[in-house]
Amino acid sequence: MVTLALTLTMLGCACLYLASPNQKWLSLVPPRRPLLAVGSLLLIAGLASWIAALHPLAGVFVTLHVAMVCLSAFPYSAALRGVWRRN
Amino acid sequence: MAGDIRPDWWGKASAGAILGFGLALSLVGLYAYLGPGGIDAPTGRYSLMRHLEAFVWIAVFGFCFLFRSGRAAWAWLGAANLIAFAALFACRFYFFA
Amino acid sequence: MIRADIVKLYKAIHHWIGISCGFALFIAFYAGALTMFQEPIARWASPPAVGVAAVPLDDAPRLLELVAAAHPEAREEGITLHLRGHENEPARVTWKEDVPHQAGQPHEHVHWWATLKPDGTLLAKQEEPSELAEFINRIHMRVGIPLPWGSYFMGVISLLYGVALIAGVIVLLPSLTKDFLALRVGHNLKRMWLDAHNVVGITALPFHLVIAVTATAWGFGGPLWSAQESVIFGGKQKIVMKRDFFEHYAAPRPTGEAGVMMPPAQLLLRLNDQVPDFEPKVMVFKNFGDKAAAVKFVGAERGYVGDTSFGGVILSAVTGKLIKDNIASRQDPDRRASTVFYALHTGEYGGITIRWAYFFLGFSGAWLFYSGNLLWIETRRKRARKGGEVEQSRSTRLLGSGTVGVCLGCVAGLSLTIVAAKWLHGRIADLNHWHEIIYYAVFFASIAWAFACGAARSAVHLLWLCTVATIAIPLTTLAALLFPALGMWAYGSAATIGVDVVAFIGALCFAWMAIATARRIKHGPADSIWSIRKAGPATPPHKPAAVPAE
Repeated sequence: MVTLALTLTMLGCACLYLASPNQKWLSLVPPRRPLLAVGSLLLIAGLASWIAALHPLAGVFVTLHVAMVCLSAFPYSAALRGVWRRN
Repeated sequence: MAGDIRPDWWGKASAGAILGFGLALSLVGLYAYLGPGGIDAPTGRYSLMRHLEAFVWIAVFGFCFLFRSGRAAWAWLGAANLIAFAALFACRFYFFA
Repeated sequence: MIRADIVKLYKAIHHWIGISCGFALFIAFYAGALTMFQEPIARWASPPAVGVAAVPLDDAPRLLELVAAAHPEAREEGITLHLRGHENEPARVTWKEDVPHQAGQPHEHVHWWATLKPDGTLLAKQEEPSELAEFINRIHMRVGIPLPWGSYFMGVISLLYGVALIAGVIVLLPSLTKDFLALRVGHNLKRMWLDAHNVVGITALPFHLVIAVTATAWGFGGPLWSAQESVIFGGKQKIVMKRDFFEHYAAPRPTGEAGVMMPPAQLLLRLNDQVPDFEPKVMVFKNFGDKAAAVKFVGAERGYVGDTSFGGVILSAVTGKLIKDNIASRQDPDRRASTVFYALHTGEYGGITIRWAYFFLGFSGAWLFYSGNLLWIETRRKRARKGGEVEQSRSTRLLGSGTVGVCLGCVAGLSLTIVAAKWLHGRIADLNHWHEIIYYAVFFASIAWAFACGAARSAVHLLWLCTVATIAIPLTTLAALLFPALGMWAYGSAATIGVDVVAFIGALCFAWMAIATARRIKHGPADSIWSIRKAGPATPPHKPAAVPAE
């Protein structure tokens, strides 16, 4: 259950990151709205699985903190990849 | 009006630090008297109150620089302190004595 | 939408708080990230001992009886029975003993452990456990300043940090939606550092707000408590605390009559019947042998925010009946809310996922202050070039050296003091004292080095020092495996191997940073404190802010 919840949350954040106009993962611009919708759905599913694995309050906070880590790490991963390629 | 805001670092910062703390203490004190369970609520409240005080203190300190001048900050926050402390002491010495 | 003069005002606030508090916050966040794995580090650093497994749970009643008979003072203090078999639990049973406090004495009590010899007799020994993990936690809480001033100091720092967070958000508001999640790497270094700083600051904002509020509340904990007592409650708080709080946690008083103790295995079953979701870590027997003897299960209920060490269930050690508890599912709303605040700071919920999330968020916080200082330096450098002023470069130079020295000194000092836990064990008398000496020696030497050599050069040296100190953690374990004659130890548990693996990855990151910095100081723009080249004729004429020694 925890693995599922973690995967869903991370995938949701990845979709949200791709939906951002500032994303650097793909060179082409992916369609924004579907990604936003899918990302939100995945996050909600992730939240639901966290709540099922823990108690509601703990589930909310775990989702929030995992999302924070992902959303701050993804831009860095893209930037590091860019640095790697240039060298 | 634009450009009217003055830095007044020391005036505003002292207002935020001192009066922000006063406001935090008095508002959270009011919560202790008027919140659910009243003044006889179980002891869990005492440790919760410290977090609430820190929250109010930070918020007042953070936003007090929006006042137009140091004097305005002292005047407004001082008035708020007076009212809040008056209410707190009314609760402590009169209503729930 | 937001007036330019307000943004300018808050930018100044953000800058000055960042510069004045950044160092302390870096240390608090870096050490705080390590405390997320306080337990694995304690297990890694604990020397091999008899272990919990030496006495099966079924033989525990006999061990407890022997301890209670031979060490009657332990009965009142509480005899701890360990259940998990971690490496930092020296034996099945441990207890503390009060010693009369003398000046210069590091403890007010000494630690004992006890086990059964093969012939069934008692083996009890006084031995001080490793306090490495507690030392890291002290650095995290008070950056190493003694009580109570360290606590007040961090209270001030945390308060200003909260203000700086508000100021930072206000500064960022005008460009928030446009630049959200942007991290533009390129020739505009100021842009890059700004993006790198903002991405972390904005995405992790809720985390930082909670940390600022709770740290302020704890830093000023004592004064706030007294202020509540005298201003709000007028003396009531103390009385109610005595009535409620201590009653809640205290075991019943001994009667003086002897009683028959229920065996621990059976008590565990009784706990499981009465509080099904509770996961105990240890059992503490109070007044063992008395008719009113009680056993306190320390642990937590699964799945709650705040499954902290405060959670506990007290059963009668004679009948196994529930006496009282302080568990999440039955706390009053205020206690619950305060526990939630507590746990949101310490990451005590959600299991291993949250430990890792907080670990990364802690590092990202440390990075926030590091990059903030670099950003300030980069901004000042631009101004210096335009205005052609000379004396500005002095402050950026000093700040650069300070940033490098304090931050990297803290990193290297903590790594080396962890390593010392294995190398120095058994070779010196007071290892816990040496942990402090080593940390402070490395920390202050790094700062001195940074000021002596300038930011650019010392950054490379100190990053290599961090790399070496951190890779020494897994290498020490490897050395212990390969050369048992060294008298060191290596464990096979996932937690302790995890410490080695994480340290290895960390060392790789430091090495990468060292190589990147070395390249930068050789080939980067010369009119920067991050360069060892003098600004050539191609660059505008101003004093090369490079190395003071040249």
